Amino acid sequence: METQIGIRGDNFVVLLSDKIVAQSIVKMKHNQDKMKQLNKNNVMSVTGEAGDVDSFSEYIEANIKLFGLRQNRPLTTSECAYWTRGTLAEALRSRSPYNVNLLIGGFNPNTKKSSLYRIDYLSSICEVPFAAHGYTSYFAYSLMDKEYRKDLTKEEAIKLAIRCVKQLDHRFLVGQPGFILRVIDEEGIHTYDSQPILENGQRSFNFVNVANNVVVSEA
Amino acid sequence: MSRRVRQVENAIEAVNHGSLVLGLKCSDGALLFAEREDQSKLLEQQQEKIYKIDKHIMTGVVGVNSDSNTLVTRSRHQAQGHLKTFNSPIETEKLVNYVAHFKHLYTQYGGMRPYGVSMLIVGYDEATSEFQLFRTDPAGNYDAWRATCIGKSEQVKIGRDILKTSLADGATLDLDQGIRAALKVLSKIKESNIDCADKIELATLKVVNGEPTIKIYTIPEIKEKLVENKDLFKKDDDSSDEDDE
Repeated sequence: METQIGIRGDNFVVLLSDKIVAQSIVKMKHNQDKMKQLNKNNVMSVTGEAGDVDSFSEYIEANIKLFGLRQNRPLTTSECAYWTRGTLAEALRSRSPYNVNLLIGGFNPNTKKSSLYRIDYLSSICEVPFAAHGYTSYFAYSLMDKEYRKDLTKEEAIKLAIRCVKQLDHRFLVGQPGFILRVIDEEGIHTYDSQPILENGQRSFNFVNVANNVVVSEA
Repeated sequence: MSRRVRQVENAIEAVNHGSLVLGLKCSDGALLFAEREDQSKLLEQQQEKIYKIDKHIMTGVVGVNSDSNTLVTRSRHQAQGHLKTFNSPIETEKLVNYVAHFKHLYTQYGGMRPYGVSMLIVGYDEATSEFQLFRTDPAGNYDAWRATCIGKSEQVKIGRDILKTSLADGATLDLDQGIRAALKVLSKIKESNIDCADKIELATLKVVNGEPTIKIYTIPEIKEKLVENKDLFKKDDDSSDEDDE
């Protein structure tokens, strides 16, 4: 039921996830940030079994920070993704596998390129231009297939994410009240919060940059 | 009270009697140069001083041969392990740190003999686009160099002097000049003549089409280099030959 989307441009990545923590039919929390900032240029968004999400993502986050300290340079997106995959794969074949689905996106300041990795709970890993997990994928992939271009700008990518969210709100049985969106680029990580708006009786979302209140809307 | 670790001192002393290995960072790459131990004419020729560890890292060893084999094997495993877990080539310093740490362990407990090996490790790091040259000793120290040599103390002294003059005032050499400097060291440390190609080893690390590439010279190729620099090996060595560079 959780929403997780990633879109990669040439020199940025957009990650979006919902904010709901649910147990059975009850919303336990509606402002949960489901992303972890692994280091200065890498973000991981995590969904899945409630307890697993926390323990796994904290473990990954701490270890990637440790590697950064040990070798005196932050890990690249690819290194973060492959190490995480390895850890998940090892756990999968133990008595205590983690039931988590991940998107890892980031920017490499050396090559000036961005990359996005999709990892599922069976530890399959793919470097992809755009990605989604779970029910969201049924609604988002068709739109992203149609609209994705290699030369997408940051604003266009955010707008595409907004269109996916709008489509979800329109068609998905389980409505979600809010989302967090992050853009990772050369300058670092920018965080946006969603703001529902009503247009012609239909709900849509604007995204507000948390740092400077700049609003990005679909139109 | 100073506590001396005799075993380590012995190991270092053993290294100080080994044959010379020289490492040098150049503007367009890095090189390793080694002199082989004198050996029987009946022995098959094989690499024994310079080894490739990964596609971007190589090492030159001095000391106990069986010890160095173990360390080279372990280094190769470590490099491949890193590739498997991170999908990226291991950083040179990370590997050196591992080797040094591993050697250091054997200086800490009774009943174990330290590794009688010093190594020069040369590598290329993608993250910084830089060449690296490290040295490790049997105690587990490691340090980074622009150019250095290890082996017999007298030879090391001569080698370092020549390298110091070649690299004075922050000068850098390209690989061809580097090889010439190495051969110059060779010409000073023993009564070698131009026919000594089978007594030395030479390897370079360069970036070719964005890929780090290690080339270990074959004996005919070394011969070519010797011929190119034959002026260094004058028969009558009495004339003063402080030449160019």
